[in-house]
Amino acid sequence: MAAGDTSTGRRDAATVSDWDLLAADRLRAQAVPRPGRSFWQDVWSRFISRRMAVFGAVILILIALLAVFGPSLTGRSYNRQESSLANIPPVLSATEFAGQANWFYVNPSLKVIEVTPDGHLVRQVPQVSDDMLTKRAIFEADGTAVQLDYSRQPPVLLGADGQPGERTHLVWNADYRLGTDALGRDVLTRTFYGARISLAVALVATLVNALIGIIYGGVSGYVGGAVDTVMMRIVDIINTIPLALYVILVKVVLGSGGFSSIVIALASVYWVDMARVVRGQALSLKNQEFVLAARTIGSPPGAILRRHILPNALGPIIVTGTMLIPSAIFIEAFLSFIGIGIAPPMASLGTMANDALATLRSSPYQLLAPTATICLIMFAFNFVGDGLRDALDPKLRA
Amino acid sequence: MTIRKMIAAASLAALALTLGACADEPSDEPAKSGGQAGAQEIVFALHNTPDGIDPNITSNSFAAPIIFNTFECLVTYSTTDGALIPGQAESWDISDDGLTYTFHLREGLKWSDGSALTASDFVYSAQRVLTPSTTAQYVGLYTDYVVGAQELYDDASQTDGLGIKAADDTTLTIELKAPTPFFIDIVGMWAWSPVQQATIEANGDQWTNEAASYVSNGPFKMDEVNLGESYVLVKNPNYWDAANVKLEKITFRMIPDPSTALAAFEGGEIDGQLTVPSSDIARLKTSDSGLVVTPAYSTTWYNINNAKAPYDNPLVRKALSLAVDREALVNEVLQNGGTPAFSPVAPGYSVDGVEYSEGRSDFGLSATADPEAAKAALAEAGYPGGEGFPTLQLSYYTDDTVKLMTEALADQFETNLGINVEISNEDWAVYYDNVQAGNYEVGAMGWGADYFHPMTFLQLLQTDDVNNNVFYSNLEYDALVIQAQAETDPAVAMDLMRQADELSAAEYPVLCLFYRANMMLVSPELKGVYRTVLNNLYFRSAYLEG
Repeated sequence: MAAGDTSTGRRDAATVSDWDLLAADRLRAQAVPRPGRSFWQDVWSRFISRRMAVFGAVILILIALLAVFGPSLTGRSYNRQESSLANIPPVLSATEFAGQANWFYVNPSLKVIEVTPDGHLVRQVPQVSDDMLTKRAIFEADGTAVQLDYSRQPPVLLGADGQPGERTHLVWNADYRLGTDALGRDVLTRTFYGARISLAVALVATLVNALIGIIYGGVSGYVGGAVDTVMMRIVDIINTIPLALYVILVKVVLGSGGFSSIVIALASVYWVDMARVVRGQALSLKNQEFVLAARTIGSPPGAILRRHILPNALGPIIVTGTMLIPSAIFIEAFLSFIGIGIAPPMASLGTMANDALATLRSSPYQLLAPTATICLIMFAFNFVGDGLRDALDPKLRA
Repeated sequence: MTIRKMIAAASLAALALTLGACADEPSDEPAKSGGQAGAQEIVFALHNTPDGIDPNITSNSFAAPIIFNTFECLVTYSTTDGALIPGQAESWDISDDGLTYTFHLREGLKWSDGSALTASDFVYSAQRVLTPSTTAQYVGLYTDYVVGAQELYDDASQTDGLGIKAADDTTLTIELKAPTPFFIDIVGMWAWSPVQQATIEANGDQWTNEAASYVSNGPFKMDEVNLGESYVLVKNPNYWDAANVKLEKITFRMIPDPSTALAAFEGGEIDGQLTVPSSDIARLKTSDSGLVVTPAYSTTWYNINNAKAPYDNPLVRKALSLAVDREALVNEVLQNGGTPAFSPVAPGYSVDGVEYSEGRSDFGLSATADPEAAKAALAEAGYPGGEGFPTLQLSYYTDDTVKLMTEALADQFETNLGINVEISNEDWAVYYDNVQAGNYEVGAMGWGADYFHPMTFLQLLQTDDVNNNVFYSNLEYDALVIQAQAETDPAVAMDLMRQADELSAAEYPVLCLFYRANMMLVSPELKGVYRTVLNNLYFRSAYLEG
């Protein structure tokens, strides 16, 4: 409707009382009382008016940026191990001894780490002896001995004279902002790589849904009849087998695990939900007048599908897509978590969570980064999905 | 010839004999027993479901706690010092030529169902193992040593030739092909325990699946079989030494994840667990929590496929061996206090006070990595700086500890050799099939001894041995091993074994990492649990205190 040029509202008749009948006015009867906007402008304005949706979108962009550029910011690699600096948390409780420039931190594996006062890790202090009976280990730091008394909980660091240190400080780990894992790898860098995998999975899921799911569902719904029955039974069969089984099968066939088997499994079966949604839309749209009109003038089925049915089904398609993506991300994380996903040493949020589980009791911080990231990504996608659903629903037009 | 008893190589490492003592220290921690106070009932967590609990069939070490507590062989191991002691046999005589063993069974032995157990039950068990359709995995424990065993295995009609005979109800004679000084250790393996003919004929291969049909002769008998969940054992009143068995009930609960089990242990739900998660060892050491470290006669290594280029080149294998930082692996990554290993044969065996590994060469290896020498070896093999070296396929079986170890190794190979490494993993069953088929390049493995003698390790590298999964072949080595096997003088035999060991280890057939120790958790109230160096866990002297 092209009516944007006559924006005259009833406020112009300021002299007329709100409760009086308006005089019949042929010109004004056709007036559109507010600026006209295209459908997508509407969608956009509704989307950005939803705070959570915008928040989700910002988070997603942020995570995507960090996933791409994060590793170069930390300057570390996902698999470089520094086993002498394993299991060091983001915040260290370091003991200061008189006459020593650096402080000392005892990690959960009872190793003593030398730390500078501004939080840089110097090295693991070599152990000289360990007396199991008195539960006392001696470490040699720059000519002076440091004793570790682990008969108490928590273990206490003592100076060469057997006296506790002057004081303990809480310092931020300046070298590894989120700490290191059990092999001494940087948790922060690995989280970035994990996010990368998650977003790559999201991309694959999107592509698969867009390419296979939409076409398959559209054809099935539009053609209908026996073709529809056969195509949908195939979908039913695919749907009865859990994705984890496909991944295992693909892994066995390929002979190696890793990202490729997850991608292939996702690509081969992850479009069925989308196909169902599109088929339902096509079924209800194909008998509408505009489709009948197109058929009447002789449009080929492909064109009808492309020009008339799919654009009208776009709302449900986008909504289904944004709901399927987070679940694909979660599936990858879950498969990696149970050990049939990404092959080590590559970091995925799932494998990181699994690794952290083994050290949960001694180094709980390791679980935080991957799980928080999964949470953020899932929430963000769901907020965006909710926002899009509302924004794309013309019935909610305000 | 040997046996396969691939312990989850995972298991924690090291011959930390010094640690052994701290296990039994008394503690005043509050009681946390799984059973009721006063009732001699315990819950013990295992982490892997065995492939079966038929003593004739399985070679799976995961079955050991169940089989060794429900069955008893002719000989068994002391639960105070681990020495070999009489079991079902009261005594035995060995003929002067070392070829005939005569076992005198105890009087009045009974099966758990009350029926009499006689020498002919041992003969039946042997015949069952030697029937190919039984699919006994330890068949080599018979065919390698006993007269007529191989013949019977090949041809079922040859029963008369078998050198295992019941002279009367309590006398069992075994004739050997050649004098074998360590044969008495071999009859202590569960493949040699008797099984009851009646229940097997009545129930077929289902006899192990139900408590009523799982008739045994050991200190405990099966009370409940909940596949994949738990095995419940109760005291066997028909055991010859039942008067000295104090525990009434043992529940072996399957908790796959040791960390989960640890939570249960610290919550007082269970009284012990077989494996300790490596990240918690340091923490557990600080308290009197019941951490028990026992020496183990076993080695953890990575198989190198000797039949596959470029790993058929000893220089490449040497380069891999040199590139590994064993000390970091043991102290930092696994934190199990293991001892770096340069040869597959674990130390511990001694003759006349001389320990086997005394004066053994280090084969140019060191506890820490030697990147320079490793690179030099790789360059000498034709891959200077790792150039042109194909991507190394490093495989492991699904297990948290093994995964950690594999990731650490991969990083050390990449850093110290400049080669690319690709890691892959499979479940144990699939993984082991692949390893046996030679379908791997470098893969996690290890060996827990079946009997306390270096031969259990040395046989593994014999050409065409069924367990030679690295496909190493050295005829000179084979000759030395065969010679040592038949040598009756222990000192001379040890000398021969040392020569063979030196010969093979210098060619780096496997990537030796460390000698293990076993670590388990046992509640301070639970006394008398004994784990031998062979990783046999005995509960027959165990009791709850207080």
